[in-house]
Amino acid sequence: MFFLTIEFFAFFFLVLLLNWLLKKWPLVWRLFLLLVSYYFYWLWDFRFLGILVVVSIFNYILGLLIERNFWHSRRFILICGVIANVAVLGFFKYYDFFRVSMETFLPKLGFSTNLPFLEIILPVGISFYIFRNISYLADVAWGKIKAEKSVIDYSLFVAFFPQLLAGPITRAGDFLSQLKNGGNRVITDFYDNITLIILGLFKKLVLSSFLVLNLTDDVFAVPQNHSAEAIFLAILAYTLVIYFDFSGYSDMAIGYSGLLGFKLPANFNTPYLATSLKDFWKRWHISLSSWIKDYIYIPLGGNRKGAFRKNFNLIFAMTISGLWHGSAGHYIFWGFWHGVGSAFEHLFSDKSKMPMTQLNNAKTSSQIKEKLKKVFGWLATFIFVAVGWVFFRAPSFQGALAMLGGLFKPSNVVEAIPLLVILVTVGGLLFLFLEKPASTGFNRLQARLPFALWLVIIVIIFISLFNLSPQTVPPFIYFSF
Amino acid sequence: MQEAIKSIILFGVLVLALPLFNSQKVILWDSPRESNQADIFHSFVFSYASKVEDMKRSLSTKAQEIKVVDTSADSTSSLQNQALPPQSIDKPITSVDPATSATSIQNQVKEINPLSPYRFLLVGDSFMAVMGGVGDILESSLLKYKSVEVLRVGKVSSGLSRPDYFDWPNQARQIITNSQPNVAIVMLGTNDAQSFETYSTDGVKTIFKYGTQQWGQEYRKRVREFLEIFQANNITVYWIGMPIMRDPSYSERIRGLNLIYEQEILNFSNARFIPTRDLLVDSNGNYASSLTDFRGRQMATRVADGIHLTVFAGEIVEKQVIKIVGEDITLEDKY
Repeated sequence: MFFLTIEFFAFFFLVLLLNWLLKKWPLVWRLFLLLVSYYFYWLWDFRFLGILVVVSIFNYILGLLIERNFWHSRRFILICGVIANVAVLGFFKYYDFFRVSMETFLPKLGFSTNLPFLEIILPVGISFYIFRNISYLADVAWGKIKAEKSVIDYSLFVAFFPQLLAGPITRAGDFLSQLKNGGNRVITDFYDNITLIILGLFKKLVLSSFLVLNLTDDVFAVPQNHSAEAIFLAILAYTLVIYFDFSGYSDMAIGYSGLLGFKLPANFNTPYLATSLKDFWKRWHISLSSWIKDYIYIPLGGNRKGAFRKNFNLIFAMTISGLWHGSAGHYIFWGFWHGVGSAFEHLFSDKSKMPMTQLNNAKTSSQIKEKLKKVFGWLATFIFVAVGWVFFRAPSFQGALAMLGGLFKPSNVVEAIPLLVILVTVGGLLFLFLEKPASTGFNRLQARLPFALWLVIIVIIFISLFNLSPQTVPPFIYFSF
Repeated sequence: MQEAIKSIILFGVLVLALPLFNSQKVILWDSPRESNQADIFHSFVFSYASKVEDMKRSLSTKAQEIKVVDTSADSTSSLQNQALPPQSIDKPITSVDPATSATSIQNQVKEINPLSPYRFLLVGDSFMAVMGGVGDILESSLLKYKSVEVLRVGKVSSGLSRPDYFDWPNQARQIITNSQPNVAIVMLGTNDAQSFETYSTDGVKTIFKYGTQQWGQEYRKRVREFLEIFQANNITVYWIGMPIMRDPSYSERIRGLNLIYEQEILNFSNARFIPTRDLLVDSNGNYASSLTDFRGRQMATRVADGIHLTVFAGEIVEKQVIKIVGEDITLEDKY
């Protein structure tokens, strides 16, 4: 059941009704939310539900053992817990990659391998909920939070349906407190939540789906059959598609949670307006990048062990982020690309700190220069990120090189690109700048409308969005991670 | 609490209004897709939208009939038609006559000799349209040869069963007029093993239930008519059969469709069927989730749905297609 189907709206209507009715009885309410979350997950594949339940109970018990410092081995239990969680993820996500890699490399070294082929179906959302569990264990071990006593609450933290399939990767400390005493009794930022759902549907159903079906899928599949202009447009469009798709999902997850009285952390903050890579990673998939920072980059030493280790840690952490997305080489390269880019940016900005101050003091840097610097930073970041997405999206590393090569090869292919495709791509680019002010304006407008008129307008917007949607249910890109 | 009531009312109204105004989309979205699990919410929305759609059609049909009555004054026939209930055909499909089963396809006389340059048209469903099939791999592969142009037109979830969603015959006619191909490669069928309905010009709805003899006849007719478009335009057709599927009952349906394509193609001298069912099977002829590559490694053949292909399996099918096409057409490497 996708967030953007009408059957989900029917499901959500019932959940919404019972959610607010049952809050008087906190235990029943929490149990209800847990059961509907499991039902939601069961609809994907009932076999996956067993894994989710076992993983939740396993981590719940480990959390308690860590807090009680069982056998005086808090650290040991944490390490075992992390290894067990990574092993579950690794088995489902990386077993085949590992098997094929072993079968490729070991015979060259004179060893033979006999790993069996297993047809493994990746349980949807596993990367997200395993990361939620790991962060919980670490936070308990590091004394940031208390271990959760209620198995229902803990299981709900792992399985809460709006964030189950593709995040945000909520932290236990932020979420579990919202379950106590029946949770929030009012919806805060009601109109924001409605706007987020509409925004998410618009980005996914209309913009992203259109560009995928009319441009990016075709060009990325066979770049050699397309003109340099079409390849350029497809790269630009995919940069928009990945943002519209994933931030659209996150917007909806946050909006639906908000209507149930929960506050989820923001996952995107106009990332394509970033003026540096560091800035970009503070705005893009925030819940993952902050997870990588807190649980990989900082434990490795962060920036506390000298410039070399800092940059090594940065590249390593970003490469892990690439690997998290998938076991294929092009995902790993995408992470590495960002890691190396960030390291270079750090080196450059570290060296340029002093001279810049001196320049400022000497009043040679005017406001215009600062603005130009920002514009240049924005453009450089945007191009760097867009090139990175080519590696992310292409079916293979070679496919990515074919795309990028296609930009420069003199092409004899004359290709008429439909005007509407160009207009939607350009419109999508403009939308990046308008998204925030338009959302704020729409929130204000909603608050001023009388209820009946508000209802009619919102329903008309939903109907229009579905009219503009594609003829098949568009799957979310991040469901496969 | 006021906001909570507002949001409950909003979603209540949305659940009632969206299937009413977007009924066709709800029905289209119901076409076979991943994770299309039947649950009470899905059943409710789908049956509600179906009823709305029926109502809309009956309203438009009535309008049409009134128009006919006004102009022709033959009111009795339209009234009779109006009184007719939707026809439902339930007779079981008869087994396929083995004598006509196209095992001897190699012996058929074929007039396959398109002239260079070869303008390939690749058409089909998700197997042609997106990754997870053969289309992109085949297109890349064909482009490596001299004097080859490729136009690939794929439509996800399409087929010959649901022209209301995507009308392949009409689309094909337009594409052929615009691009003038001389060779076509077709791969359809993933979404076709389903019941469908037709409307006669006087508004009588006929429901063809999947698995009945009449369904088979109607589907055969559609395949034939589709092939006739290529024949009329002097285009050589290669029809790629569907591979074996993981789900046994779905796989059996697909086998039935393959047989229809194979048999119908026998009637066309410009067309060849390329069987692929036996390409992705184990030594016992059963569905193989993995096969051994040339290095001796076990490689997955399918993505998670057990239907669509991995790149490895896509290349196996693509090689078979190139081999068969290469028997009729001289394909010379560019480099």
